[in-house]
Amino acid sequence: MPSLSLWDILVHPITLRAYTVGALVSLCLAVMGVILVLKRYAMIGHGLGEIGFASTALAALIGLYEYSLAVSIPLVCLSSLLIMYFDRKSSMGGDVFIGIFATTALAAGVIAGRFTDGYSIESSLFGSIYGVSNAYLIGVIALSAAILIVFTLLYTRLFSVTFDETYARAEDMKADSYQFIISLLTSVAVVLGMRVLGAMMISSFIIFPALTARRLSRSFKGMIAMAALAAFVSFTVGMLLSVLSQTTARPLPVGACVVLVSLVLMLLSMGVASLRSKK
Amino acid sequence: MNSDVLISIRDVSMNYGTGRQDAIEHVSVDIKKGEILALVGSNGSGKSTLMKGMLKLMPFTCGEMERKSGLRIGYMAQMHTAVRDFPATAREVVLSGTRQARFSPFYTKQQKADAEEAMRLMEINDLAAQHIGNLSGGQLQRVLLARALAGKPELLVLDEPCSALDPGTTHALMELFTRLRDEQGVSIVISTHDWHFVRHHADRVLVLNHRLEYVGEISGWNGREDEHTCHH
Repeated sequence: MPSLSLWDILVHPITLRAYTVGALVSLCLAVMGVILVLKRYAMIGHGLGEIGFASTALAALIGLYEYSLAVSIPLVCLSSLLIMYFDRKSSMGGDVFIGIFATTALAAGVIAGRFTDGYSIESSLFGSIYGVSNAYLIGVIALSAAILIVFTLLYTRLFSVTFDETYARAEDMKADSYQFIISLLTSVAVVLGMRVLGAMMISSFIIFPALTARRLSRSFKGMIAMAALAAFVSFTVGMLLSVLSQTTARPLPVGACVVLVSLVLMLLSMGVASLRSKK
Repeated sequence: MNSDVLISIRDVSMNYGTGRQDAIEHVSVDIKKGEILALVGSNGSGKSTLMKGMLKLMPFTCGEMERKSGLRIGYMAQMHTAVRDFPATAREVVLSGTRQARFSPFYTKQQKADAEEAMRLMEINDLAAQHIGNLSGGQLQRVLLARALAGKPELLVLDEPCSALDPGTTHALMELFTRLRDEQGVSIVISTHDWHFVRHHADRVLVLNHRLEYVGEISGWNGREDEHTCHH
């Protein structure tokens, strides 16, 4: 958009659509991230991002790029269930399976991308503000709302399962089914975020807000609220940087900008937390 | 199963992986309504394992168990499965033990009242807003006990609940357990090294040394008390 003024770019439908998608998905990933980080299962996000990348490349290859959500969501959900299944069946630990699934998917995605004309592997991996159609926007709004509603309704149970899974099992709560729900919600959020935030960047949208919030919160509720706020601020500032760079010779991808802003925010929170503990 | 029995265990064995020696072998016991059953035995004799079996946290390798359907259980593990640096307040932890009624981001009035009541019994109301990481070992133990009580359980399964408590608190807790049994008909399965408690408060004692050595009233136990205890 080299001929437009800064204001024109900021209020351009392309920017606004990308902002809406990114902000909503950041919020979803941040609240899921609280649970994943506390359960020490955050790397699943990285694996799912790469699997999502492969499924998007596959959708593009077979001419269904516009409907990539419909292709990616089932594939990523299925993969996350398989990862969980193998994780439980085997004694090797979940990260091994995340590694196997993720690298295979990355390789397949890069190869599928090479065979698809006009498909940018780089923007798939690192995020782009372009390419959010109205249909895609509506899909993201509906599904993000669904994620946040399910999360809210299950809040008390998610706390129980996250805080002390053994206790939840002893009380006859169906702890496994909540694990599956957590995996599925995360999978959907990861897919929704890939186009704007970038497949390789997704896991940091899960990890950074949760870590930023953890040091500043003494309650679970507080950590969720803080993570959501951190995600919103990071995304808004990062997106702004990316948009500003679009008029320059070196436009920066959204995902990468947001990740660096998130990192700064996390370091700041660590500073505040250590000052507070010295008092 | 007799209606006075909450859990019936028949000839069960459990182990930690095939090929390893059985942690418990051929144990049978009924947990009756309104009784305090004390589990005694030296460290590693299988007390915790047996409790995990009752709670379906670990499978039996053989034998069978019947549980009253819908049995409400409050549990306190010996090694806290809870993480201390988890961002949660004492109140959040206690609330998580209340009976989950509906799908909602908020706890019901009933759940809040149950949690308050449990915190009052454990005398931790003033700690409610504290982050669990700031609590002492004994305080955390009382929070976890309050969580176990908050669900108004029919059966409390307590694995050495007094290990981090001072004698005064321990004594108060033992009185509380007796009151819960007498006033509310709560059954309590409790593992302990405290023979004073066993003699004065327990209805029956189960002596475990991988195998069941004895189960019945304390007066019928002929073995020595101290050979099965491990004094702290």
